[in-house]
Amino acid sequence: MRVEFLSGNEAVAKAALDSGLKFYAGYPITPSSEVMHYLARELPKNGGMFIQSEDELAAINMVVGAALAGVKSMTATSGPGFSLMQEGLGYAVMVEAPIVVVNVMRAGPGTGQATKAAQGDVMQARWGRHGDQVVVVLAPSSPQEAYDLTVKAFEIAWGLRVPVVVLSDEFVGHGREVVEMPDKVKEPEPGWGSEDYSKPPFGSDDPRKPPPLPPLGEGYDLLITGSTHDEWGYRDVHSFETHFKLVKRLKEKVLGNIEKVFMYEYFGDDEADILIVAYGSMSRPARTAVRRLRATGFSAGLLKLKTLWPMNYDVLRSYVKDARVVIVPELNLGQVVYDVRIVAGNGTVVVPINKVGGGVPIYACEIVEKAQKVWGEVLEEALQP
Amino acid sequence: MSKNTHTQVQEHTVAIAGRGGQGVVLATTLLARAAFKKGLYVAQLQSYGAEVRGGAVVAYVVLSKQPIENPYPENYDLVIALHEAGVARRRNEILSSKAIIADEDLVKPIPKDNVIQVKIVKSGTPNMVALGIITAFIPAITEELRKEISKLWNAEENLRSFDTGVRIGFELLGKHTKLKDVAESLTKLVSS
Amino acid sequence: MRCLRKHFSRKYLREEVLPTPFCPGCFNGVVMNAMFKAFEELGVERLKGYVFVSGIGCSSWIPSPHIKADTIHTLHGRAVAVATGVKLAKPNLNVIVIGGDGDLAAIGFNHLVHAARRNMDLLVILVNNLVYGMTRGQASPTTPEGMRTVTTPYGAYEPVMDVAELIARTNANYVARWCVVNFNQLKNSIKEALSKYSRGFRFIEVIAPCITYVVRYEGKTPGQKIKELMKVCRPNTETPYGRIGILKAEDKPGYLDRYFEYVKRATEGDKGE
Repeated sequence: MRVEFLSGNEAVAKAALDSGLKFYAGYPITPSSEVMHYLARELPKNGGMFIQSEDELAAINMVVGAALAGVKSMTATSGPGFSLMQEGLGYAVMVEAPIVVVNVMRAGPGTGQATKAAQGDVMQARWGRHGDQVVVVLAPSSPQEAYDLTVKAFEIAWGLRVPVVVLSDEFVGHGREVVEMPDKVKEPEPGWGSEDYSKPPFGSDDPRKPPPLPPLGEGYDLLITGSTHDEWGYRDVHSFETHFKLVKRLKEKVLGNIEKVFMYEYFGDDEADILIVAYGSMSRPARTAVRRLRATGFSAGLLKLKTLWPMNYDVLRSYVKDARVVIVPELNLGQVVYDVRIVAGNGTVVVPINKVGGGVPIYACEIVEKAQKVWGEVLEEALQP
Repeated sequence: MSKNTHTQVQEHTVAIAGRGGQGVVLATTLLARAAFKKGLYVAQLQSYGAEVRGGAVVAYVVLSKQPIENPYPENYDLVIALHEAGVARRRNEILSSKAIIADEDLVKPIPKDNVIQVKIVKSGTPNMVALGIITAFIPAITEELRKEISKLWNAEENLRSFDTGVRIGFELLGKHTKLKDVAESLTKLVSS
Repeated sequence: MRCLRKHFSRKYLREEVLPTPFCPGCFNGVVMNAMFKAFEELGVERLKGYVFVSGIGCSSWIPSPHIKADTIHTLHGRAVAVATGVKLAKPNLNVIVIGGDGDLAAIGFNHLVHAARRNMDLLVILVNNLVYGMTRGQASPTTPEGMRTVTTPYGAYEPVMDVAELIARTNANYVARWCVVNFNQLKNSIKEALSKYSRGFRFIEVIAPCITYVVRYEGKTPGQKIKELMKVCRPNTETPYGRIGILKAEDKPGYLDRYFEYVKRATEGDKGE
């Protein structure tokens, strides 16, 4: 076990190295740059390749190229840079390139507030590309989780041949905390270790099992294209069957493994009256709020989402169904609150707490006050004849 | 899935508020590192603008014997205010804090009885004096902090300022009884 | 009549995808043939160890799906970036980019010029057909002034970009421009860029006017156009398409040579501070 005092950005970089990262391409952008600063120093010494690309479009496409060549690769960015990477992410989904993209969220849109934390890219991380597709989105709440979830991101990316977005934010990225790391991380294997290169590289009979990814240059004569293709990679930009089969498989490949991909934690009372659904940095004041509420006699719980996409609505529903009040604190104008509304029944009041900009967090006291106020209103309504 | 009970979480926060260029972030980083080496769990966060110099900066360290639950406290145990700009940025958080030691030249007078205004910036390198004052409240980390400061490029001058800060800190602790509570809770973190 | 002997180039092709989808008379076939001839003369029997990367456009279909090797058909403009990733991840592979003027000179020019600046170890073949041939012949950065296209219905008015000349001004090792009518020179250039000059950034521009949207719109037959090009595009002369010939041929250390030097510094005591 190694124990170090690290920022979230450094923890991400360390986790990537521990997972076997051998290629990093990136373009400097606040507040993600420390990821690249760390790797600029460490990768060349560890037999890896580091390149500062001309822009984010180049960065993500270089990373896709390296991943297709069979090398663990990653890029990190923020705000406008993540917008530029959407095109490449969509391409990575289509060619099933196992890449990891770190987005350290800052306040947007536009240039916004480059040094200020936000959680406004949840919907973009999920839906930012054109066409139907699923990428995996993980949201760390601390430098410790930044390490743990980046390790997990590589495992999922290579296990499922799918791009994984690590959705960090400025608080997590720039905040420094104590991080405990194992001495050694098992390097993730393609397809969780069962690869048969005689099988087609872009097709699979079992929708839950990703096709094998033979490395470039070994004589497999791989035909890789971002256009619609059949199981051997032959382009077919006309037929309904080929396209439908492909996009359905790309989706089912991830959704079929949701139990491996969807991660969450629960803290608090069973069947709590007041449930807080939070993720990333804001799940931490939320936890304090739950503790304070319970200390003053309320039945309260925190559902902390570590995976933001794909969402396991069954899990979400199982917690929301017992609650009378659900509070969703987010550093944006309301994004994950929609997921809660989808599963909430008529008897549940869903209340967002939204705040963004200025580097101001949502304080535990604000969550407590809101919860008590809404609980009071719910009681009053219930007592009315 | 963790199912903790209502156990009280003991987290204490020390903040420095100032202006870009005063070394506020560096000071809190050194403080956090020293506390980490003394076996504490720490979280160090900061808020600053895109500019390197001149903007408002507030940085703080959360200290605890257990893993930090929440590094976003709504107020602090001890604040060292080096410049009005920093105070303005986090006014609510700072004014609701337990003890505030503010520079008498660069911070506008704050009419509250838990605010003590002294000469900080003019006593030496501002961030090092601030660190010194903080150390008077947690004497157990002094040695680790001195080690951290010795690694800086201008170690000698920085250590001098640090020692000045320590002296100011102890003087204040001797004079103002209301600082005692804060010092007690911070000292307890490392001693036992 | 049945051919008794297979054409030599068929060993480099995925025969199951033939015939190609190119318009009758398309010059892409000439570029393809010159490239295969170069491989043949270099004694390459099987393209194992070669990776062909292309973007979106007619010339991007030269490698994908036709060439029997690892081929990556990328997004519009991003071929050079993907190729860079492949090359850096597996430095022992030969990475060749084939793209058009829209792909490499317009949407992807940033990647092209920076790969050239880095002297990235890639061979890039720009098939300059003067328009966006795949999508109805819109104007591109290399469309000659005055030419009528769907996006310049009253005649193109933007000045033309001389891509090869621009790349020659960077740190690239090898830059040449040929027309499809200079078949042997083109073939020799590709050969050279894969043998004598095998490191750093190598860039070959091929003037190959689009048969459908340039030649036909000019009211010419392919034969007439070839005759015209043979007159205009003489080696080592200035032409309306820029200078034809080898613009630059050096053998400076490529990106990887420099990177490995850098790695040596990092591992031999330089603290990086």
